[in-house]
Amino acid sequence: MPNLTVDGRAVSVRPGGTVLEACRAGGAAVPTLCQLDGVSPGGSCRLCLVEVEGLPRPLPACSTRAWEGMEIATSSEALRRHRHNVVELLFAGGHHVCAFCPASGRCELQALARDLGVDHVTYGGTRPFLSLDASRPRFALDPGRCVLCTRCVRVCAEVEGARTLGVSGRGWRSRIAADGGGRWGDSTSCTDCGKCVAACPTGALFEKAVAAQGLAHPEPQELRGSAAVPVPGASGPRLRVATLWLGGCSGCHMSLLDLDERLLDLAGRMDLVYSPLVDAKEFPEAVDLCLVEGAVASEDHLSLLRRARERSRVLVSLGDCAVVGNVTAMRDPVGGAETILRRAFGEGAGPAGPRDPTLPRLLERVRPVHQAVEVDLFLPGCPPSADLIHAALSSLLAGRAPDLAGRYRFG
Amino acid sequence: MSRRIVIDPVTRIEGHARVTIELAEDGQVLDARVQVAEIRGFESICVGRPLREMPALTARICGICPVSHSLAAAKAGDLIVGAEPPPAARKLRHLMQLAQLVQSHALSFFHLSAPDFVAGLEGDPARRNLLGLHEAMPGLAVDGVGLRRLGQEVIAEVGGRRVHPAFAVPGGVTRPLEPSARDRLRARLPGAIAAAGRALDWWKGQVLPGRAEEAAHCGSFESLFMALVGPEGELSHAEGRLRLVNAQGELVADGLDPASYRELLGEAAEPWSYLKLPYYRSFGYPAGMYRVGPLARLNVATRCGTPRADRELREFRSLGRGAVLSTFHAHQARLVEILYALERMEELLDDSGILGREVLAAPGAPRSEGLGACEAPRGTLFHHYRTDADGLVTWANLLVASGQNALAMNRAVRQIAARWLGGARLTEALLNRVEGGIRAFDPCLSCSAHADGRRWLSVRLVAPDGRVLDEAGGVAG
Repeated sequence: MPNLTVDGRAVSVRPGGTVLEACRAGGAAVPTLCQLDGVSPGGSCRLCLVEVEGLPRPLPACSTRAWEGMEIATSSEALRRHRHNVVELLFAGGHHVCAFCPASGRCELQALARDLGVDHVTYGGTRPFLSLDASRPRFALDPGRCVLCTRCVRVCAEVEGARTLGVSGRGWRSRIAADGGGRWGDSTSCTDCGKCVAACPTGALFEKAVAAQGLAHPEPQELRGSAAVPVPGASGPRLRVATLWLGGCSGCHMSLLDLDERLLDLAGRMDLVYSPLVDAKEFPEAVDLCLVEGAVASEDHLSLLRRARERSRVLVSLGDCAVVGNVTAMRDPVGGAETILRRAFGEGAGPAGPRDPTLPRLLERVRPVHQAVEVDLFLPGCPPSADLIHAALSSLLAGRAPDLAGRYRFG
Repeated sequence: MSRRIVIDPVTRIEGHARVTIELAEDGQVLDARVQVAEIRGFESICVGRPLREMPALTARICGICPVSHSLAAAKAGDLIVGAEPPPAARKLRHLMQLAQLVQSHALSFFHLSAPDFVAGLEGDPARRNLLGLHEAMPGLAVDGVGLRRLGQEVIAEVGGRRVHPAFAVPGGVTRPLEPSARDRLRARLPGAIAAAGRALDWWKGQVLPGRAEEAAHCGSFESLFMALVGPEGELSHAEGRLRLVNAQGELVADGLDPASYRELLGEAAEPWSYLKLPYYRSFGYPAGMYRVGPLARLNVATRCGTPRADRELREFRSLGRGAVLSTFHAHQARLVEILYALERMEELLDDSGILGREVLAAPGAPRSEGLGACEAPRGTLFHHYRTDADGLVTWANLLVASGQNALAMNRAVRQIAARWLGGARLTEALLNRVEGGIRAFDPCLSCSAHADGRRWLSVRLVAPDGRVLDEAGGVAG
């Protein structure tokens, strides 16, 4: 029965027990994703890495056996950064659009982003559209949402004993596949038991009949995280506030209006100097705070955003389209601007498409705001709630950096 | 040498648009067009995705009317999965549509347009907004904010969140209404009805009397009007059949199945425009031009179907001979519809059937194609999908209200420009008149910027002499 310490606390685990068991026994919150109680460890996601005194590199807690006298550290700054990067890379590596995902609200990746303070994704680039496999009567697989944790593979083999699901391909072409490849619907080994769906931490495997119904689950309230933001020194007695609407649906502006009477109260402390809600044709000078809704999808968006950045002290990326591209960026995997223009104009009678030189050109790739200009604060959500916007606004109006303490969520 | 004026951006509308006006040397207006410089490609991104995702995905077309998009998608889904929504689900869908009508109309009337009537179309631009309205007429502003809030709170209480609720799904809705929630909502309606009444009194008493000239030049021309109506010709926003009336208010067609929209409605292509102009096919083009939205609904419906709104409707009808033609009166139509929606919500909430626990029907015999139609705040909305055997969308066509009104809106902009700009020295105030006219149409540019939207980006009207203008080479200002 090994005795060891976790963050200085003495714990003991059963013989053969894992470091993860030890951490849990010691009350340390070690994040996991590919780990699933009851099946063998995967060890692939690397979120549960912990530091062991005397070893040069961290070890995965889920797949390392505890030994006598180990001194484990679970929460160093290096580990925090590392876990943050892992989640960010997982987001960057797939098509994770929480807005309409059936798993939103119960997704482990979404929850990890919130808990680890991942409020945007630094890495750019477009991944090609990955076709869904919905050929099974009840279940479907969306590889765009898959993080290759292989929990489904392990429950299929170790619990159901069917061994239908596996990983095919290598590197970034790796995919979950049934019977070694081909349509899942053609699989003869699959028993339609649904354990893979239950084991999936994201919305990659889902029940077809309830595809979008999970969204109505109540939003979680207990949240963590923080944001370091330069506080705008107001350029006058009242803060000068602007809002931009780029490539988005206006839902974030609606959420701003959902402040209701609180908006009228804020009016005593701020002037709305540029916004779809007021009459101003030019983005003015000396703006204290600029809220940006929407992704950068056209050349007009880009030039307006650059001007806004130059003239604003604090710029806030408001909502998932601005923060991660969201639904607005979904045109990229299906072929980008050219494809959607062809779809809109290429069929039927009439001219082939708009070639009015006064119309702004669409960008080849839709970008989140921070990939075009520097962003000071991110408010994710589709849309972010009025309460979140209010918390950020009132704190900025009072000259304090907002403590949004994990109150945001993608989707 | 003609001159080009560009208003960019048009403000206090739902989206980014600009107006281009061509003036002749003598100041006569040759041409005016509203342009939307945005396209988001929903008809492309829906392809390959599960049908069941459509209500939540297409809600993201528009943050103002997401409830209508998800309803239209769910209704198309009802047909495709072969599931008839239970009675309680239909009532709840209806309740959500009405709540959204209230919040969307309140936004258009109070937040966006009312500042023009309080500060004046030629008032100080810095005060011509909701915050300025709040300083000038706090009661009106608070009523407006309160009505919008009520609509949003009903949506949140019934559907789970204020913006983009995941509620309507193929076969019904995601959750039943709890009696406690019903009681909370029901208790708030009388206050909201009183607020809507105050706004109507203000409009009819203080605003309308001095605006005959504005009304005469804001889309005041003959056209058809189209809307869904209920079995007795009453207003109906969640289901119903299509009815068209002409400018004299006479019935042109009735009881049409919205599923036949592609046979009923043609799309004309003009060599001078990228716009495909929708028209009522039996009348040909351009005689078949029609309008949708609150003005059209009040022109089309036999009656509203609730007592106070019906009294208002009779008064409203006196604004025209036959149909009410000027889109200026759409402002009043929105207030009448708010009143109607609140009264109808009372009736729905008083009906114990709305508390039914069975709200989602099991799928039956599937089909590969389905159309869902409803009356979105801005007019008839069509969602049309085809799916493969696995339930993935293979083709989508979305016909939104603002696209159907585009031709009328461009004609109206030209009418306003011709009345107020011709020969005059151009000022910010005069240009705001043009924008005010656009606000009366309440175009939703989020909706229009899905794929179809680009079709009406560069509407161009020929000059009175028939000359077609070259678009290139103009300079702003």
